[in-house]
Amino acid sequence: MKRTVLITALILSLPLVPGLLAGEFDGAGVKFEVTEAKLDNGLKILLVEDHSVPVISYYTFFRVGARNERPGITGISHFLEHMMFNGAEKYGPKEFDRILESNGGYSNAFTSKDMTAYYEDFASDILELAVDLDSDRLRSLALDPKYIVSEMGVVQEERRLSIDNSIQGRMFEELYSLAFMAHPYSWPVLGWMSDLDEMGREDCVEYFRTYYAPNNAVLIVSGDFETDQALDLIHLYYDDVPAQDPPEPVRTREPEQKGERRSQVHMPGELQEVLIGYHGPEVKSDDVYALDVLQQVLDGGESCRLYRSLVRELEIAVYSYAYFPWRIDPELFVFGVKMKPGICASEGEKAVYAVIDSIVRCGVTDEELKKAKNKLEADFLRSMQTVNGKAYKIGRYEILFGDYHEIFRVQDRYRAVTSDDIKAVAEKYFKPDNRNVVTLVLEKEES
Amino acid sequence: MKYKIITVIAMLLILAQPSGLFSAGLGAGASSSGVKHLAMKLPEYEEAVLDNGLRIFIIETEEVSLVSFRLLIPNGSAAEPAGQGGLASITASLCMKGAAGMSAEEISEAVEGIGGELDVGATHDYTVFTGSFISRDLSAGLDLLAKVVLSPDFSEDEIEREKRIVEASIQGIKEDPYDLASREFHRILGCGHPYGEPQDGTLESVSGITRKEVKKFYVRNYRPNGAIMAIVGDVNTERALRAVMKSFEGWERGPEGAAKVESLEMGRCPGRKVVVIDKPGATQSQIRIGNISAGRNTPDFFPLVVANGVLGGGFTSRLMDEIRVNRGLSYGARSRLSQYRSGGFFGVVTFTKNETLRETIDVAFAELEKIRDTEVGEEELRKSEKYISGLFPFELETNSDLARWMTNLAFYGLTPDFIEGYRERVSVVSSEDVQRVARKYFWVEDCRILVLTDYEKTKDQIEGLGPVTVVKVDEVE
Repeated sequence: MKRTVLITALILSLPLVPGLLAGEFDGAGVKFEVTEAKLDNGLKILLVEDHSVPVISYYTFFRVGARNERPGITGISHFLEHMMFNGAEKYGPKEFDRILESNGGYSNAFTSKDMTAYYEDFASDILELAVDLDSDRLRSLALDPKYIVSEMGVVQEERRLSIDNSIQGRMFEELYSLAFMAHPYSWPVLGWMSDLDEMGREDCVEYFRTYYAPNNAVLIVSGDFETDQALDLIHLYYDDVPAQDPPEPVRTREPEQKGERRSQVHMPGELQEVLIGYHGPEVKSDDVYALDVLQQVLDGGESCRLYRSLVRELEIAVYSYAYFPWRIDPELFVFGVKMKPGICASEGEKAVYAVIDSIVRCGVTDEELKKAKNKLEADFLRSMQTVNGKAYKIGRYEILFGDYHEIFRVQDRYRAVTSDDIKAVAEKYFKPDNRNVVTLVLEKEES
Repeated sequence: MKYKIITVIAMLLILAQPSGLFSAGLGAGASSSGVKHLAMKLPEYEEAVLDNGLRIFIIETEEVSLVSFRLLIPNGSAAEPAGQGGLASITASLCMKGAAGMSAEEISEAVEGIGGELDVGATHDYTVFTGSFISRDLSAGLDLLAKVVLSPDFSEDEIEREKRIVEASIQGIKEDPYDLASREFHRILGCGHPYGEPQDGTLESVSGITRKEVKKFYVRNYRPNGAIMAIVGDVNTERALRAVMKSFEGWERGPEGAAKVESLEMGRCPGRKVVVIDKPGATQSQIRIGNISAGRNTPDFFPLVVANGVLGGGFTSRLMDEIRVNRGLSYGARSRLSQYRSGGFFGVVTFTKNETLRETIDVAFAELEKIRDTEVGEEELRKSEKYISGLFPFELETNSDLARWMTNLAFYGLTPDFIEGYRERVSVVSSEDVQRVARKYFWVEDCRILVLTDYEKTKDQIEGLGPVTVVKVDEVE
């Protein structure tokens, strides 16, 4: 197995599509080649040919998520994700799923704060059908008023399930609205219920026109196909989709937090819980790699600091975790603790601060560092095992970094992280003044 | 220790007849081109049986330098003595908490230090250890697996600690309406049968577990005869086999294999009954409707898979279409088969805001009646079959997928031709087959309806469904 990461960006001489750029990756035991192209309307295309299993994964990523919304239309990115399955010009309502499923395919989609992504997984003989179906809804989404009404009911049930009737959902919603005063990361991807109640077709039409443009999208196809033939197909079906003016950039930066903020969620429940969120950096910051390694040191398994301390030694928690997602704009580094019966959330908070303090004071050991890096490498390999996993990863990197090539560099960046780097980022971000704390108050204990 | 090679089957996944990639006429009518008939075959594999009875399957794959392994021990929570609910899970977890001179900390450190994963869990039918390591660490991974399986300490300290964690989790499940509704639904359907009982046990059963019970369960059940292992990944078969033999040579054969589990007979739950879990303040109601159905080895397996697909699988199933797409009543609506070795359950799973609880239940019943009363049309049937067939290759994509299939097939007494014939057998299911199994297993008159809701707000809507029993959420055990 090769242990070195080769970074190559070379010009391939493919006669059909001159000037293609390709990235080839052969590191950490994974080998794949990415062919890159761009249509005149701005649609970026990344193809990974892989004939090991006769299946294809077809992803479309849009550079739009909750961060592009504003009060009044919160949740619209996610709502449009749902509406993309409700009919376009050539394939009407219900047709997308019906045709795909009756050809043995599967489709789904997700929306986050930064991006919206759609995928289809199917047997390799129906690639053209997928290209046709997906280009149809990009070209001519219907946004039929009747389906806007029924789909809004669906989305509101989704909100009731995963936020309103969920302790975790309510607590995360509270944490982000507490921590972000200015930046759109303050509201949930699902949106506020009152905005969902009021959102209309005009809002959707305008939002769709702006953000669902080929120049705001990246298409990633991974699996069993011939690259030149796939590119011909994509040209055939997407060339006529018009480009739009580029969307307005997100301008707001979250002001620096100058003092601890605290809040409570009151709900019926059994076990106390606490969330602690510190403002951290954006994905393009160099600090991200040290924070990722630190996240593993804290929460990479049962041998790591949080589990060791809170679950094993102190025996105050059912579970505890550290969570630091990559985002385009500065994001929170979150600690969560679910307490054992009868144990107060303040105990969990104290224990998390003790774990943080020991890292700020003494850093981490060489063994911890090595273990965290091994875990990051193995997790990376695991995520690249399927054609879907590869396509997803490439798309995600492309949206977050604006360049998927970071995939080829990330393991080197982790390898370069030192104990001093970890100490430095812990000291920089995990300060009391930069802290947001949400505790769960159990309603039955109140009464 | 010796081993015997039993079979060697060649061939990678084969395309039996690749149809023209770009030739199919497309459009709404193009579905006739359908899923090409992919003759699914497993990659080349080797099977061996050690002297002590342990069966091993090895598959070499090369794409990513990882290896997965899986060890299935053919006894799970259904093999627990009465009143000792949670014993199988606790025994399994305890294996990782001290073994062969290593403490719990040393075990997790050894696994995670090399970027590995080693997990364990118990289902109703079996206990399973799964590992994922970078290929170069296969021997180290197997060595750790052997330590925790062959020589667990079961120290008093760790047993008490584990019990406290399980007790807290049992309390915690009450906070999650979806999980709580599903757990209680199966409990009602099981009427005391082990397949209906929660895997974690109850606060009462867990508190009664001592080292004696754990040891006894372990000694009786953790034996190589009847156990099945699969190793899949970037490995050399010969070397992998040698590594298994080295690590597992001390595992002694036991007097018994898999425990007998009483068959879960249909007809245990006659009539229609409603159970309400009352959760004041809930703005959404959880709904489950169903009854006892068929086990994993039923001759009706393929008709049931297809019938369940038509009714409640995928985004275009009838339940999804009527409840979610047409009416916007829920984010999810599906039907589910839970199949075990000696029986199984069938259930409709959905949820909706309190105001539309009855409408949603009525729609679900209308769909159950429709699939029982009317034959499914040809186009809809083919759609469902092609969807099921089309997704099948994705179930065999990763090392851990293959390891799971190999061990589970062997456990249920099936052979790899189950995989080879899967799509063919799905495609020959007829409309009559679907209606026949729907009438047999998709219960309407005799069924249990479980609703988790704010009862004060929805009481009126529940009237007329059948005799109602109300349990406060705090009183659920």
